[in-house]
Amino acid sequence: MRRLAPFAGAAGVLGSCALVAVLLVHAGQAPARDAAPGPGDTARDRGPQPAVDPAARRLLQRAAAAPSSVSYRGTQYVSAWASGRSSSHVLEVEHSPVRGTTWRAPAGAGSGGHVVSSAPDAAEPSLLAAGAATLLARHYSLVAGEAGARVAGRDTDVVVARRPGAGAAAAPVARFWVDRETGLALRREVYDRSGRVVRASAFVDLSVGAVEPSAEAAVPAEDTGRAWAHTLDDEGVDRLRRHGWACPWSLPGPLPLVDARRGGHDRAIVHLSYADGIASVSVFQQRGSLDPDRLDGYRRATIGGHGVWQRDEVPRTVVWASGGTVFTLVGDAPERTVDRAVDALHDGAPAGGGIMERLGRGLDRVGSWFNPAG
Amino acid sequence: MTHLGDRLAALADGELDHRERDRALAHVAHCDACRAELEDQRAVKALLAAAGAPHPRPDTVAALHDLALPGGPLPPRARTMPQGALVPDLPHPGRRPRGARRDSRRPGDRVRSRLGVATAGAFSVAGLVLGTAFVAGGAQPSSSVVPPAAELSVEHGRTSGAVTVGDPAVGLMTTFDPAATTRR
Repeated sequence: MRRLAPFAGAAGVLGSCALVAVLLVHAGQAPARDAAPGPGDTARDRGPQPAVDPAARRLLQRAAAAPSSVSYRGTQYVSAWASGRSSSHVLEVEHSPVRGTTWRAPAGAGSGGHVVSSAPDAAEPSLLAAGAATLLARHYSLVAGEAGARVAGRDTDVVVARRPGAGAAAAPVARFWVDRETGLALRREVYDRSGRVVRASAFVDLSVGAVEPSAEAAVPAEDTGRAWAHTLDDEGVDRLRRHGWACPWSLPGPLPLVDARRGGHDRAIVHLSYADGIASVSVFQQRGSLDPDRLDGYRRATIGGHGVWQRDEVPRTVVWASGGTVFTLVGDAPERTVDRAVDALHDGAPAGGGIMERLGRGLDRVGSWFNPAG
Repeated sequence: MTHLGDRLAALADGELDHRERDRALAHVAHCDACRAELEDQRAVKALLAAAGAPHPRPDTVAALHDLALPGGPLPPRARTMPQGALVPDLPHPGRRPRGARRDSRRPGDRVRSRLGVATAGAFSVAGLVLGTAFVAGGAQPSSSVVPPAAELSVEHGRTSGAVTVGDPAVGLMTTFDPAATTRR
């Protein structure tokens, strides 16, 4: 035994070195956040730098911050158009910096009485240090100074967001009407590449000041008004990737990854959020195989040569399975952006059969034996 | 035929309720692949359960003390004489202590040898863990999944409202769709 000990030690050291080498090689495969463009992220995506009017940036930062200090109640319409379909709702809104926001569909509408709430800190983005206004200024040129129409009887300033560049390429992407008195964004319009309105929302009446919660807007007790609480930082996203989840740092558009969290039963669902300040795409992933027979309201479609299931609503929802994972993409973004995102995720999805993916799944499973609650 | 997939681990762990367990066991009864996988998972769990907490042998503990003092031998141990007096157990000059084994190696060789044994032991534990993970991660998940559309729509709306400028209601529009409301 003693004679064998040095050989066992040497074998142990060599084995450890081999294991470390494998892990280092594997770690090297994870793209660094700053250096890694997303799948399909082309030079055109990273084209001309946006020109930002400081006054426009200040207006949007004020608009983003206003709900944390202003209470209001009003009625707003929300409309969206996509190819061959549209969706429109009139909602009663109550907002308090302390209680958050509730939206209620008035009685008589198809979803009459339905209430959705959002807490003041509903979802602090886990991967976005700056606010949404700064994110928008990184991707679009911003101009202020257009004559503002009155919205809900109130004076406004208008900010126009354009694609970076010159000439026809610099077409408006969105307009924001910002209340001069409170800073609230009272109207928003988003346009497609041909200039048509694809999203519009505006207040038709608004009263600013202390808001007492109305009985109609009572939120169900089980509704926390918050997004899933288990957020992930950069390291957490890298760990997901090592365990075989598809976690690109950006999607074509480009839409950078701005938030990551887990939720659902046993935190079995991974939720990645991609956004540029105007468009946003959520990518949900669950281990397993898709059972199309139990999908309600979806139709079969093909995107980029890949078979998917999608629901004709706004925001658009697309479902597919790849590599032992079921993907659900909810996209409040132009049709083409959603198509490219689906295509990129389809092509970039891990096959699920690699040794590291298998070890990752196994470590997850063994961990659950010792810590069922984790 | 749909295999049990991830439910096999739950079955091995005894986490299924009566109804699910009955259905799973009925499936295992006529599915060779799932039965074999279940046996593997039970074997791994039994191995882990039998391992228990490590109890090092006394001479291993003494060897580790030696490692902590590489400059020389341990001080002499006290030994109880029949009369109850304590006398030091000193070696006679020129003689090995009674009961000591013959070991002509230098102290450095002994340290390296023990270090090698410790390394091999650590690597064995790592190998056991990785081997267990490899076996446990082997079965491709085949459980059937239906995305919870209503929950995902609300989750999207809340995160979308935090990362876009304008109107958080736009991201929540789907939840006001009559079809979505009836699906809840």
